[in-house]
Amino acid sequence: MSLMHQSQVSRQPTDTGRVMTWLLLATLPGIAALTWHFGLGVLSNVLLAAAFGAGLEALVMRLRRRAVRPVLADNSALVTGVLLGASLPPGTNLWLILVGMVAAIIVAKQLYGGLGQNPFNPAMVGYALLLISFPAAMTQWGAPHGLLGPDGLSFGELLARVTGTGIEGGLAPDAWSGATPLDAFKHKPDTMLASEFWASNPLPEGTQAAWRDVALAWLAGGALLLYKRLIGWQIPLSMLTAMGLLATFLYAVDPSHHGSPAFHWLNGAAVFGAFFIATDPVSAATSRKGKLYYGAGIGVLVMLIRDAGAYPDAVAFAVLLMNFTVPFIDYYTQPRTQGHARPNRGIKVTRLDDEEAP
Amino acid sequence: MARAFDFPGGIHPPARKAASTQRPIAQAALPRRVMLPLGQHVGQPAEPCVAVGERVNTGTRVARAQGLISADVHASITGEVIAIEPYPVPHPAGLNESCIVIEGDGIRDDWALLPSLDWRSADDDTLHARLNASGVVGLGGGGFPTQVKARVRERHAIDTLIVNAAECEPYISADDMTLREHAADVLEGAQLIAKLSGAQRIIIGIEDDKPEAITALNRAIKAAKTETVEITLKAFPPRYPSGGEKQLIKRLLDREVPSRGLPADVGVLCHNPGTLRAALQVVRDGRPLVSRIVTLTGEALNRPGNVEARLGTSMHELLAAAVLDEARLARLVMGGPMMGMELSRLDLPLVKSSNCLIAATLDELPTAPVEQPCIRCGACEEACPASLLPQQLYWFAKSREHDKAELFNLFDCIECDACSFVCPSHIPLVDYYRAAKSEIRAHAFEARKAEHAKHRFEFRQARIEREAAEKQARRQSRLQANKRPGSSAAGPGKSQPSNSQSSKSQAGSPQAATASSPNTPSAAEADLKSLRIAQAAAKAAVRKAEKVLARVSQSPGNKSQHQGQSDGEIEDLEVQLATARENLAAVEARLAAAKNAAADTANEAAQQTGSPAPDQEHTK
Repeated sequence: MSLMHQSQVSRQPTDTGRVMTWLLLATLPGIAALTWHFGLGVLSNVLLAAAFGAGLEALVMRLRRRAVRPVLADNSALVTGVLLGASLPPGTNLWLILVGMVAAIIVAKQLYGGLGQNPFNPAMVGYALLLISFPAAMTQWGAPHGLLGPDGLSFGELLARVTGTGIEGGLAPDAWSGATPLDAFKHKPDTMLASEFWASNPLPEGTQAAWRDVALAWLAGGALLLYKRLIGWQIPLSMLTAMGLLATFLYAVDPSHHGSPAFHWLNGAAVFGAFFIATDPVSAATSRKGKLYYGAGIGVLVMLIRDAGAYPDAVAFAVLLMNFTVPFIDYYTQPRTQGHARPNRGIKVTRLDDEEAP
Repeated sequence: MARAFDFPGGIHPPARKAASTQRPIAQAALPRRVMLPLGQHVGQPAEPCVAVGERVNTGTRVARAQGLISADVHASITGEVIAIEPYPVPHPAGLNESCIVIEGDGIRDDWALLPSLDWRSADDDTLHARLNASGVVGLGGGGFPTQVKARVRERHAIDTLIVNAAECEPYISADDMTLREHAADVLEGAQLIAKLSGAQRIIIGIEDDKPEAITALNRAIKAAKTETVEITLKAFPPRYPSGGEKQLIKRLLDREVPSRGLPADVGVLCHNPGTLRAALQVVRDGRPLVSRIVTLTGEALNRPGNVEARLGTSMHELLAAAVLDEARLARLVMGGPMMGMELSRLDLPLVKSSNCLIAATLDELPTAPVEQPCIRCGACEEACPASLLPQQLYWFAKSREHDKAELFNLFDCIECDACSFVCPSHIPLVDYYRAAKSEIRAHAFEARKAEHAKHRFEFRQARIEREAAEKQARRQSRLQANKRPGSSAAGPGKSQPSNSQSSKSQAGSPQAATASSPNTPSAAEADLKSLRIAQAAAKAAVRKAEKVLARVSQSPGNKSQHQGQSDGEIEDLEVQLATARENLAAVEARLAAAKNAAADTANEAAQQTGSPAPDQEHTK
């Protein structure tokens, strides 16, 4: 019975609701950078997803006949919404976002019992479902026309896209959307060397720089999380290190067909995933040592899928695959308890029939 | 100041000790009435040795220690015993306990002192006897009888005595004040205990936020005559729970107390300064434990401080003397805010383990916010001083997966509550662990009880079997005696009724052997041989049971084990030994019968060669 609590003495956020609020604050630089480069579509994604998140959570609470307010006050549904919204291509259709959020909040989270009980990262379940079900829509990233640039999406156009009421073909996809650098590089013809490929200007102007800026903005948000001790350093470090090592190895072996470590770090969802997705404590490995293995596993899987798989980016799949391994990792990475010679490993089951055996 | 080692985890709760360290230790007013619970210590409650109506002096023994781990209780005032009845006592579940109530006039204070001893010259037995009669228990809150701890030398080699002056819990300042004012006594008490336990050095562990106590100790160390033991002071920065026994040993000596073990297992004995002072007073002054220094603090008190109060004084009286503002009192805590217990009423007696009373306002110790779901953030893991995974233990405790909780070392949890302190979801983690621990213990107790019942049943079976075998042997010898003159007809007595017996594995082979009663000398020999093997096995079983029983009954002082438990254990071993003896007796009876029969058959064979009686095998 501790009658005192950290929250009375500490300036650290020590309440789940406030932890989540700080997490939301930490996403702001990344979202701002995305919006700056990719336009209002990012904001519509994030706001819609967050609203759906809160609404669906409230709905489930009503169905489960639980008090709605305290559950919403933990802000976890908002976080899931913001993270999913930030992963989607700008200006994603309303219905796609709703489908994604239903998968995230209802299927991945509430059907398992709500906050703290979900074995899989809810936002990534939603994202993976959308990516598999609607591959065309999910891979059309807009060119970085900028928020205020002349080619940027106007509010009316955005509304039309988001609600799906725009005249089909009125906005030619080619004219508006483009590939991400990861996507483009992945579909580079085999005969072409990397240097030739980049020399051919395969992407709209500024795309690389835009993605770099976004990655750095996420890094800034991640630094805030680390500074506020909302996440441990283990998962981001081990994930980015594993990616870097594997990328360096591949790049060293054959630089003409593999991206450099910097290319892999600064493109796609690597930094975002390392600081905001993989660190979700509920679905991650829980011990400090386990987190290192977990993060490294994600990094390796991301690189494998990016390099050899069918998808240009892989954070969602890597995180979900590593979620499967969490119980295993947790059993095998127990710390050495004081007074024990060595840590326990794995799980020992006393067989029931042992006693009856002659 | 020597280098300190480190233990993992830990937290930094606000100390809030300043309020109670402003004034020197005051003497509490002599109470008119004291209530002395019989179980103020770990182990068996003491048994009253005074009657209602009897007059007692301060220091008269009023209850005698029972069993191996127990402590005497002494009258703390001069007066008359007016009741021996259950009353509410400080207990986490608010239970009642038998108390001896003494009423005096609040003025007379006649002491019944024991003769003074010089511990430097007195022999160990005298000192042990004195500690036995002293009622001194661990005054830091543990309440473990000091005389039992003083005998640690009988089973463990002790090299270091640690004086645990860390006092890491917020609010409490009783040890701090004791050291400021009585450092020399504490040191002398430490030397006394070091002498008894055979420790060659004394290390005083203290958090460096108590500069006055450290100064006083340094002065006392210089003044002390320490030819035999080396006394060192180690100060380290405050971090809860550095005053935990295992954590302190780790911090001072870098030794780890083995899981489920005792500090004595690594050659260390830990004592609280107040306990050492009390032990010295018992020996030097002949003064049993009748008072203790208690911190009275909390914002609902207008005159917080430390007082030396008689045991059994009503807490209400003590708090009133410290000018309690009852309107502002939100909760009363005995011990510290981390590991202490909340008391539901004010009229409870001060007991030996009451080191601190916190009369807290609502602002000070607010009610816990609503528990939220665990998000496995791992803050508890970083705070845990035992390197456990509290988040996993919580999971297993809540879902009652006790086997997994044990696998994750639930029983290494010291219940320091550091995890609850940092939990962002405000989960009272240790409450879950305590519940799981008690369920596991209850389960183990049931299992042991069932096992004991099984052993008693086996004993009964063995006794019945032994009786049957003896009866059988008698009948057989009678039959043989009858038929020896003349008749060669096979006696039906040979087809034995001993098959009705239980499936004792030991008795199995001799049964078979005797049942196939021998007709030819070679068969008889084989039967005899197997019976002899069974006899040897039964003898070995008896010896083994004797050895186990002897070992357990000779090492009864296993401190971690509860008295009642080990008693049940010994009883059970005795039953097992008796069972083995019964089995042996049964086998021996059968062996004797078989020998008789063999001799008989040999005789018969000698008399009428070549006339077997084959039907015998099949008649049964």
